[in-house]
Amino acid sequence: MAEQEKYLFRAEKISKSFGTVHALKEFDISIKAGEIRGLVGENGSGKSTFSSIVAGMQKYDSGTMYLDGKPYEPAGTVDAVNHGVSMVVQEQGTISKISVAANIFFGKENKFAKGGVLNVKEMNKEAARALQSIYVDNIKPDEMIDQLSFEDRKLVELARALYTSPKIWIIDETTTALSVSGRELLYKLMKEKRDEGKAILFISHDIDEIMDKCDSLTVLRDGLFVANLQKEEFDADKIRQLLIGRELSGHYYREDEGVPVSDEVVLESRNVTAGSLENLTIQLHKGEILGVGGLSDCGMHDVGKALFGLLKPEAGVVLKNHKDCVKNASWAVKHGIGYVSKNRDQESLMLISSIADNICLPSLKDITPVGPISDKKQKQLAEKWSKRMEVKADSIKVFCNTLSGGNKQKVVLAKWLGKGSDIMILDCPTRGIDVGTKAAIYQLIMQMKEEGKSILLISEELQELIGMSDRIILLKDGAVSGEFHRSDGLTEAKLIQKMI
Amino acid sequence: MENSKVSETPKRNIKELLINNFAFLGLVLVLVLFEILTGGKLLGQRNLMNIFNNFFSIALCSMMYTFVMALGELDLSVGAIVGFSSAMGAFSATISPVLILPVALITGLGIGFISGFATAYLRVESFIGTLAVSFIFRGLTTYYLNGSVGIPISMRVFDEDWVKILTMVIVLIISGVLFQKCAFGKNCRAVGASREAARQSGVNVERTRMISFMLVGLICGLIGFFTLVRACTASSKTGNAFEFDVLLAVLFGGMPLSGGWNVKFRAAIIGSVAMALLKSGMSLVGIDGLTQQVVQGIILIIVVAISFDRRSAAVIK
Amino acid sequence: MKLRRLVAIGMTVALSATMFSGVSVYADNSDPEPFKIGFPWDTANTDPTWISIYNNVKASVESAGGELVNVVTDNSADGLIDNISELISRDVDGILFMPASDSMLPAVDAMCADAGVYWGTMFRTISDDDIREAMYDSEWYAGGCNEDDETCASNIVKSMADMGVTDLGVINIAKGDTSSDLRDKGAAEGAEEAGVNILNTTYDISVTTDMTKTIESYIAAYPEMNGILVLGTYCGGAIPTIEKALADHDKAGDIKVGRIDFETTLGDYLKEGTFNVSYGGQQQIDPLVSAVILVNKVIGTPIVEEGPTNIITPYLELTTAEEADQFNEYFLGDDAVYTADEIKDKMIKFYNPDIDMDYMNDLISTFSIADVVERHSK
Repeated sequence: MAEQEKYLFRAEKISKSFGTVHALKEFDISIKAGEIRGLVGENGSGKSTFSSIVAGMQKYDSGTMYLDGKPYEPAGTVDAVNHGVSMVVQEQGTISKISVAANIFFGKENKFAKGGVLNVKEMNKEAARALQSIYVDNIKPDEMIDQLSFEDRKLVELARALYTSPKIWIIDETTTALSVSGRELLYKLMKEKRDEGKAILFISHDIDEIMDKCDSLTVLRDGLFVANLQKEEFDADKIRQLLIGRELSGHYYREDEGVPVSDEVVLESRNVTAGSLENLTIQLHKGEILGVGGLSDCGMHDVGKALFGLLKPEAGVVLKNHKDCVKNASWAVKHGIGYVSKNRDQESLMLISSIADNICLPSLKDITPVGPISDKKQKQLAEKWSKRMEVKADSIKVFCNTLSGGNKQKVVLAKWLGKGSDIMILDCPTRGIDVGTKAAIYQLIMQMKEEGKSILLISEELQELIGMSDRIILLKDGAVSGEFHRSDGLTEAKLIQKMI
Repeated sequence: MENSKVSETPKRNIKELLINNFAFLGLVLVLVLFEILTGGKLLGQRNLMNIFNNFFSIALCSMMYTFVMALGELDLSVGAIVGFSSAMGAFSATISPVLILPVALITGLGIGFISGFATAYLRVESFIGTLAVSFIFRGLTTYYLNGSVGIPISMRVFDEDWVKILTMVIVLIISGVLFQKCAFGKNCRAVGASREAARQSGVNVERTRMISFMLVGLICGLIGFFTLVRACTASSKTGNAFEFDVLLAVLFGGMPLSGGWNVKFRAAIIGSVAMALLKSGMSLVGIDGLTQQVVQGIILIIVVAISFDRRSAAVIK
Repeated sequence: MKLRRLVAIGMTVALSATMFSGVSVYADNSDPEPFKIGFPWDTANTDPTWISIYNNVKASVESAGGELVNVVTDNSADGLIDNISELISRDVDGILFMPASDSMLPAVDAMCADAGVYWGTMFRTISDDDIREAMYDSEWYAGGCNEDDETCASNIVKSMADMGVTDLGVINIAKGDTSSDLRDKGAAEGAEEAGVNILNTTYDISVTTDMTKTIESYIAAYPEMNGILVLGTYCGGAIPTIEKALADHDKAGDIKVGRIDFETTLGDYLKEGTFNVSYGGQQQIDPLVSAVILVNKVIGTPIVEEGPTNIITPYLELTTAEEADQFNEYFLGDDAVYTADEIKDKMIKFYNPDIDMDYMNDLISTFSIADVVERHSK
């Protein structure tokens, strides 16, 4: 009994399975009042399943939960909120076409209703107060939610979650959607709530962030509890090992240096003006990993689009092998160029489609040039590359919207590997992806380089650029502002100088 | 959460199986119900040919319509195309009856090209674009036809059952293989699933959309021809409301309006057969026109409600 | 057990007797062989005239003990062809329909000839000479009624001219429709004779909003217009729509309104003086007599021995509210303008061998609103 009272929240032997897949197996966790607890695990490890169970979003198969020492079994999200459990999610959680205030008080409008008439003025006032309590004053309660930026909408969600002064606050992968100032605000609020004696369950992919902000952390792997670590035990390598369950072979990034790169140019833009690009000339060599970076609005994403033929140049040309003009994406794919978009779910994948259909799409004409395409060969192709990329799914018939972010990205890469493209344009390929998949993607990039393929790596993470590229081009306002070679002894500071 | 949709419990499997095959079950239900109500007359030898005649135009069009549905588009001009190409065919007969078929086909293809161009390259919503095309060609049909134009009665030789059955089989095989097996059909579904992902996977999105509308146009030209040789007359009412018959048929078959990989070719066949059986059955039982409309309306709502794809809705959020 | 065997033997004997004796069994009988008449008609349309047409055809068919088989149609050429093919497969002995065009008739005749089914038309004449000749040669064409559209249109224009109309806006059914074309022709002749100026003709209005727009644009474009004549329309509630549009522009009563074909609301407007004259009333007698022609042919007692029977039905004139009310009660009620019993007595040659063309024409010429009122009022 005494043991139980010490903890604000306890979960014992929580299990949850979906068909044959065990998302959680007898998972235990206890969180004290006044504690920020990190929850880490790879995609598919069950951490989101657990947090959604606590928030009442789905039922669990067996086990018990205690809140304040009393059994806790939420009937739904509303019930969970009434018990003092609030959650902010990874995806967008606001409701469009209604005002900010209506979003904050969604489901609680009755508070402001008198005889069936909603007192909007009162609701807006209260919403302003709620926003002020989280130090946000640039959002007007009567504004339509759709006029806000993604980040501001996240802030509205924060206001909604905290308005009920929850005892337990679950933050699921929210920081990736926030800018630096937004993150700072979130951290500040987390500390504030901890000091008020609340419990916080913080879920993130970013190990540095977890180590910095959490008092303790719990590692989950394949639905199983792996370890609890206290702040003093935090160590990045150790956490990574616990996450993956094996020692990471060598380092994360490539280690070789000063490897010579061929002079042969395979893809280039000549004085291209397109989108946010101004008179851009860059060249990608055979077997080269060319990193492209800069501040988020520098136009680096348009470089990928222009080279892939998605952006039509207003001036200049994009050439493959010095002579062939890249006309459009269809031409580019046919001529061995692959592209992984930054917006994976919208642009790189058909979500309501099977893994097999996604993998085979660009290669259909290669399988059978004219006439009916062999189902068997399609299956073989899909299975081969899905296996090669270690996509975690029951079969290649599984729809992609059911996969985790890392697995989705593996499908995208499998698609291009299957096509056999020898030029790959990767726009932020590791964005929002777990450590294991990230490592796999880096390995794959290296392997492609060794096979003589050329890679254009666009990334917002400077470490990634430094770690992987043979050469880095930095952009500013759509034009090249700096160029570095691998051998130059690169540091983030050196790059940043050229970026701003 | 990531795993929540990966697989299902057996109970859900059965439910899903039912939902996935509800159109087929509906077809069987309609068949059995009317077979009993008509005392076996529904599938009597004489009525079978009737059902085939009811089914012929709608099924031909539905099969090509599958491509447009896969794109997540609609084509409301099919009735107008049938009307106009049959009118053009009738005019060409005054020069030589040999011209009827090629003229009807080229007219259909041409109108399909206009719809396709407007939708794919001018970025007009297909719903609006094809509606506009429909108005234009309905208007032109009425204007040029000035009532009705007949063709030599000898052309009725093409209204023979074996000609139609042969045509049906050929179109069925071509469109079925093109849709299920060939790159084009897969590209259509890919564009419907995600236009951008298809584009970035090398699909020529604009060309795919344009060709789909042209295929529908072409088949409507063929339907125009068969309508013409059946009645030996083209009138301004030819093909009237045909667009709704076809839309109804593909929806009956369980095609989702959202397009993508859930669009199945068999839906076109099942839907057209179900429609033909339903119409013939109701007529045989002696249900009056008003009640027939009400029944069709109710069935449509039920079917669309069931076939509404919850998975895609879950993604939109 | 015994009883059942007895019944079985009895039935077998009866059946074989029927088979061997063929028609003779019925020839001795007082009723013709049972038969079925197919009738494509839009039973989804709830317009009283539409319903009354169905009722009148039904009365004719049942007068001689026949069964009416309805299939729903859109009355388009290709729709009717499908309907006819369906009716043939349902074993009808005759098919009555309203042709959508002359050019569809050869196809109909070919289908019916193949199946050995008689066909008859209503409301329409065949204006194309070649087609008419070919159809009149066909042994399967029973004939039908039509209205003298041309004279009717000419007379109503003259009648409106007598009321002082000089400038006329016209509304008509789709071009190419046989009646529509004839009425156009008649109206033009009448206008020339009476010195009326036809300002414009609008065709094929099927919904009230279009009707309103047409009237409003007439009012705006032709301030001199003092008459509106509806030569025909498939738009439901045409007159109330026109009256509303006129009233909205303060023109009700100033502009004289005339219409070929009656509708139920005419009485009210005649009373108010905002509606002036209607020619019509054939919508009941035409299908009734058309069906009679077909029935007589099917049961083997055609009114005319050689070729099809063609009867022109006279139009009735409606100028008073009282006539309009009587029309609504006796023409658009549940009863046909001749009941099945009356038809049996007066129009079926099987029961009355005296019937021939002259007899029918005489009978029809006595047909009027007063005549129906007299026969059917209790």
